[in-house]
Amino acid sequence: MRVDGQEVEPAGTILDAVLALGISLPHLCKDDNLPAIGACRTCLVEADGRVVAACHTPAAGVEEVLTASERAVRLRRAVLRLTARMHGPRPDVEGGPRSAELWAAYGEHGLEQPAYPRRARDTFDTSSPFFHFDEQACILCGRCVAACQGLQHIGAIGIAGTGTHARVTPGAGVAFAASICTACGSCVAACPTHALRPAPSSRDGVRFERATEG
Amino acid sequence: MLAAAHRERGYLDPETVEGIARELRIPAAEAWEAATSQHEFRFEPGLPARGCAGVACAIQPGWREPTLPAGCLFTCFAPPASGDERPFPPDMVRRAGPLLASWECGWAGFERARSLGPQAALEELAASGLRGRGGAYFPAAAKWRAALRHGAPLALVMNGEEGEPGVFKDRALLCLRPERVVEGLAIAMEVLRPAVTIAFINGSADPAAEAFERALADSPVAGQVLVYRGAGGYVLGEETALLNAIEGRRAVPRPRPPLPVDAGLFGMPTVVNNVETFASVSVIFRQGAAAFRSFGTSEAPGTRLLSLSGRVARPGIYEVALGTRLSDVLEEAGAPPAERTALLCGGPSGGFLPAAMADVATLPGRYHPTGAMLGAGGVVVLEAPGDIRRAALTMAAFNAEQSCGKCTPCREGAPLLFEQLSAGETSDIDELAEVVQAASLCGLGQMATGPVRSALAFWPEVFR
Amino acid sequence: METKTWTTCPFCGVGCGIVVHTRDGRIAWVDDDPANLSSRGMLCVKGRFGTTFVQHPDRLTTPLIRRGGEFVPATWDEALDLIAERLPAFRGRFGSFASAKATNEDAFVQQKFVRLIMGTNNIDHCTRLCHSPSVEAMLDQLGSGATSNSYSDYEEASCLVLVGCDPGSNHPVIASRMRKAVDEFGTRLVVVNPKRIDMAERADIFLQPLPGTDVALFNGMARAILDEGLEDRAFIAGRTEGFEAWRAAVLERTVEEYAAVCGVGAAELREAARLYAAPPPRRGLPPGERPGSCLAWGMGITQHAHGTDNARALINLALLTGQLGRPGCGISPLRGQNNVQGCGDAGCIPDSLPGYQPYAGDVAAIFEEAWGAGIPREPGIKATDMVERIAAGDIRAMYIVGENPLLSEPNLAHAEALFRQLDFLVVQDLFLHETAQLADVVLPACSFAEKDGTFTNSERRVQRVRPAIPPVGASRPDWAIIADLARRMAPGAGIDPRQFAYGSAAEVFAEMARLTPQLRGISYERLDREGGIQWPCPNPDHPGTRFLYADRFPRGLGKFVPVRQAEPAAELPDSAYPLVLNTGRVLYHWHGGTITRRVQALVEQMPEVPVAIHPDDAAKLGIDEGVEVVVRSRRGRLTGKAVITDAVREGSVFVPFVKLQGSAANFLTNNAYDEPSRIPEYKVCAVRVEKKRPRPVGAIGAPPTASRGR
Ligand code: SF4
Ligand code: SF4
Ligand code: SF4
Ligand code: FES
Repeated sequence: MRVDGQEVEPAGTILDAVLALGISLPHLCKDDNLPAIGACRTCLVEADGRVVAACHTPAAGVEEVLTASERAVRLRRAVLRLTARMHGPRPDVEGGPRSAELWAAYGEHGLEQPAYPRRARDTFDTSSPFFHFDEQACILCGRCVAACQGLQHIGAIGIAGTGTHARVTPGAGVAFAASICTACGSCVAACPTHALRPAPSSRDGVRFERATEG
Repeated sequence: MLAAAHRERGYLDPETVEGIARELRIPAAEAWEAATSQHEFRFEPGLPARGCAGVACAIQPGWREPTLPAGCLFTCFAPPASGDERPFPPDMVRRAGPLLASWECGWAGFERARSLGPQAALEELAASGLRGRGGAYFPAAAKWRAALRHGAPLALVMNGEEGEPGVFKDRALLCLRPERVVEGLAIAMEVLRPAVTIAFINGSADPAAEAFERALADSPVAGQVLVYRGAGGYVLGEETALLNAIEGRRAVPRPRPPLPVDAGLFGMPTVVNNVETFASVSVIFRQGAAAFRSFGTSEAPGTRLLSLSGRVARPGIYEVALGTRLSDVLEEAGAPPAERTALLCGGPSGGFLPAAMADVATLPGRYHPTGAMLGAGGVVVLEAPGDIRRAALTMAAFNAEQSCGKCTPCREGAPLLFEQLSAGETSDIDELAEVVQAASLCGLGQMATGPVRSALAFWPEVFR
Repeated sequence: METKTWTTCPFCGVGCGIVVHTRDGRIAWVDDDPANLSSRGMLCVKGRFGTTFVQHPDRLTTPLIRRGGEFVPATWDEALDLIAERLPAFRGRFGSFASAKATNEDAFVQQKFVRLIMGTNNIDHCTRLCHSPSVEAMLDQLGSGATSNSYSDYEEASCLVLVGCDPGSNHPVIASRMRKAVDEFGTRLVVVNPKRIDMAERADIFLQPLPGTDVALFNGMARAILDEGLEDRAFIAGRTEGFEAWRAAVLERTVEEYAAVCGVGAAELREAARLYAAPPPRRGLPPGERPGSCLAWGMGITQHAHGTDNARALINLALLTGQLGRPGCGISPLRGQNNVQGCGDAGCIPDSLPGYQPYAGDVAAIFEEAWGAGIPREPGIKATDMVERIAAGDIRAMYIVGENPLLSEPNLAHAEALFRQLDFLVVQDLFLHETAQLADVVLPACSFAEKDGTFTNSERRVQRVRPAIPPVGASRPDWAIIADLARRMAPGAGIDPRQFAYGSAAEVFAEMARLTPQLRGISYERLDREGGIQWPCPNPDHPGTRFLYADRFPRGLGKFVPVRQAEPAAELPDSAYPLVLNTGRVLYHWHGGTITRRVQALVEQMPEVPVAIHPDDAAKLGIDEGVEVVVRSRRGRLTGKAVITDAVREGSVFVPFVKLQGSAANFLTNNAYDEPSRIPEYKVCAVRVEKKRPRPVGAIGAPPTASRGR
């Protein structure tokens, strides 16, 4: 198999092959730790002339992958423009470990100004002392849900509602603190945006009061 | 369980869902996400009975400009629709063929499949050339073989969700000829020997489900089929979303591969076929593959049910051989003269077609590159250009509403298509349509652009 | 500057792999490690958000020496010279606690110091307080005291039986793997716990026995298995001994009688027995393979006055059904602290040498040759006895590493009085905790994030610990401190100081591997290359061992030991103290909380000690949700916040043993001990609960808790 002209072993998915070659390709809903979800559609490439999502298309049987063809780039840009419809500006706070992925994808595709009017959603859940959920930055990629349900098998959160009503929701529509969330933080680790991010107090060793001792 | 609770109270609230989750020993969030992903469920008490927002109803007097939410009530043959479903009226079968022919007692087709044994029966099916009737026309025998190849326990699923506005043929079959469907299912069970068989029937189609269960109770496979009532909406036409709904998960499509025939329901190889496909299987085993092939073309043999609604004198079900000219059917149904008429073929995934171009064969594939297609056999007859704007907006709204919300292009793109169409800002709608079509995860999104594109292609003036 | 360090979580016995991200020398984020074989990319709240304790301003930064009742900062030389000068006088009356939080290397050097320099086997660690009954019973009946299976066996089992443990709170990642089995493979789940724990929500059978009636419960299950002929006859005949005598003891009562003793339904007891002995195969079980059952237990079994009997009854069950030595089955005492397994492996126990090797002639000789001096051959004193025997003068000086016995010992007020009688106390730790306050010398140790080493988790997997940040203040790794002290004391003890001339943790590990057959094949180089390795691993080509007892037990045949239900507990409720107190852990705090109290978010999550009480009892006592309550036992009292829940049985209250705002459950618990293992009975004691009276005006400053003067 060839990716942008470079030979590579067709093992796993096309995305695996692309990343193995060190080619950068957004994959906003595919966390390295989690199975493919196929929701964000930002990993589009041209494979033997067809446009496919690299994260869940097996490499086997594909001969020629183009990540930078005019069509692939145009479609990825268009998807990212739609993605940008969902959120506001980059929050001026520290995000989780993967929070830069979204902004990097915009950067690589030359998107500075949002193309469509923003679809406002504004839950801000600070009920957990460990992390916050800022919905206005959420792109509904579903990584957090996959981490909670599929990796940790906790199932504290889900995406409730269809279409534009879809929303990351703890429990049956409650706050994180009122759900069975164990604060394992796997969702925070997975989130590719600033939507789920560590709470300021959980990361800073200095902001403690001195603990009283015996 | 969610469906039962919904029926009892008329709506679901978080406490009910939490209670069910506890009983099933699953986390509340997972039950809640499953519940809220089903379109037909409501989460507040006392909402008015939902009016229909399908196209045949949309063209009735008193229509409002579509707003979201939108849905269809599947009695397009007798608009405007509202309230609970009623049994399918037999007089709406306008033309019957082998599928809708009256039922002779006994289970001859099933007996024949049994005496042939699975191997030979599968060959018989292959010889008949039957293709799936859900709309994708995948050869049935190939699908069954693919699932059998694994030698692992199988699941067999009948898809009776029928969530497409303008299509009511599954309801007709289930209400009027449930035995035929049951027999087809029984034959499939004989061939596939599934570990579990599930008949999924639309949550509001009570009459159809009752008729089916009655037929099932008298059948040789009584007690071996689980009837599952869902409320999932159009996206359940996507097999993987249907499987998720059955598993009690959020009803959204899964990424492919794996295909359901490789790993479907709970990871088992799974065969999903449409109600009408099973009815056809029954026909094949009663009359033989050769008799089945005497209808239709060599590539697409057999008959299939067309659902006609809208501005025709005789709406209802027409059973026609595949390959019949669409214009012939229209004539039979009493459609108005072609110059002033347009057709919506294939519902929200299909597209509009001027009736003057209806001299096409009813075969799998598109009638016109902008969208119109045979699909699941829905044809809505409209007045052109008078009805076009309403109909197109209705379909765009329907797609936006029925988007499961999983993937970005469809969730964000489909409502934008609707908004831009509605506002008449059509300048970069092509670009938008391209990405929705090329990038969406499942068929719903990929084909959602058909009505918009075709309407703009043939009647651009009505959207200014 | 940003760095990433692959290391191992310092909290519980699961031993998750973590990747510590630092920014400018401070921990910024802790990521999971998908490549880690034990945790597979999972983590819990403590691992993820809890490690900031290492940079808490309370960290000790220099050695402290007590001068005239005050601590004064000292240099390392001053502190170590002082210890080296004082300790020799206490030979024969000296004891030492090792830390199950420290590394294998720390533990190994410490036991070598105690045995070689101090000439005593009086070394022990917190296993005494958690799993000594399990270890005792397993050594006796099987010949090895370790968990027999691996976490992957939970995923391959067809039935999981969880007894007296709450993995959802204490071993979150094991709980995740168990939930995975239940969700994905339809594995059956049986939960036995007086408290309705989270996992019970997903259980097929949930038994809520009366506290302290576990032996009857397991004998009842055995009786049910015998009644239905579900025992594994081939296994009993080929691999065990003592079956007939044991069988006779079990047959003394019927299933119904056993069930009545425990207050559970006989039908459920039967069903639980059936599921354990012969579960229906899980989804995806390879054809032809016998469906396996895993048995996991925790402190709910061991922390009783007859904890060893409880463990024996469980092992009998495993022997009866042959659920041992195959994939998807086995027995697991779930380990509490990150390195309890390793601390015992390294020899920090009074009754055996590293690797559980006996003091018998030829083994001791190997050590003596390697260490170039004689070692004592009589078993030492166990941890709980060391404390009790301070009173008699048998122990006059102690060296405590990374432990806070004044939070973890039962009946704290009593324990504190004993510690005050010591002539010389050295405490080496991260924080100046309750015990350290009483010390003569306090030495600042490095945390896990500042040193090299290895931890061994509950599934016997030896994993690397690597430094992510520079040492805080003047702190040093435990092994380095002890080795330095040993070099100062060696000449006086007639030992070659070069015995303690370790240049790195790797050198310590190499010596430990050389002397411990089960670790012989493991080296830092292999760990860095392959990731964690499960012992036994006898040679460098050995891949490690996933499950034990495939074809024989270390003692030969597995031994059935008849056990009968005794009085449920040493102290039973009466009219003055009518409720049974049950203690345990909560997810958000870890053990006594010396560490987790220093993580702001963890404290926010649970600021006060919750006292869980059944709605009926609460109604009787007029207690509402959230009010302040006082729990009293014959030994002390604590204040906490009432949580009204039917998760506990009527007649019981549950209090986690974290100390928050000066209140800790161990002010209440009983210092009654299980005889063979000397574990204290933390789990059961009689208490009464009352609403806290409003404080009389003027009495401010005397908080109504049993805390000592601050
Ligand atoms: S932190 Fe809570 S919501 Fe996130 S993965 Fe863990 S349990 Fe689920
Ligand atoms: S919160 Fe983050 S991980 Fe979850 S769906 Fe939104 S963007 Fe994705
Ligand atoms: S489960 Fe245990 S080892 Fe894993 S992260 Fe939590 S505390 Fe650490
Ligand atoms: S990464 Fe492929 S669809 Fe999101």
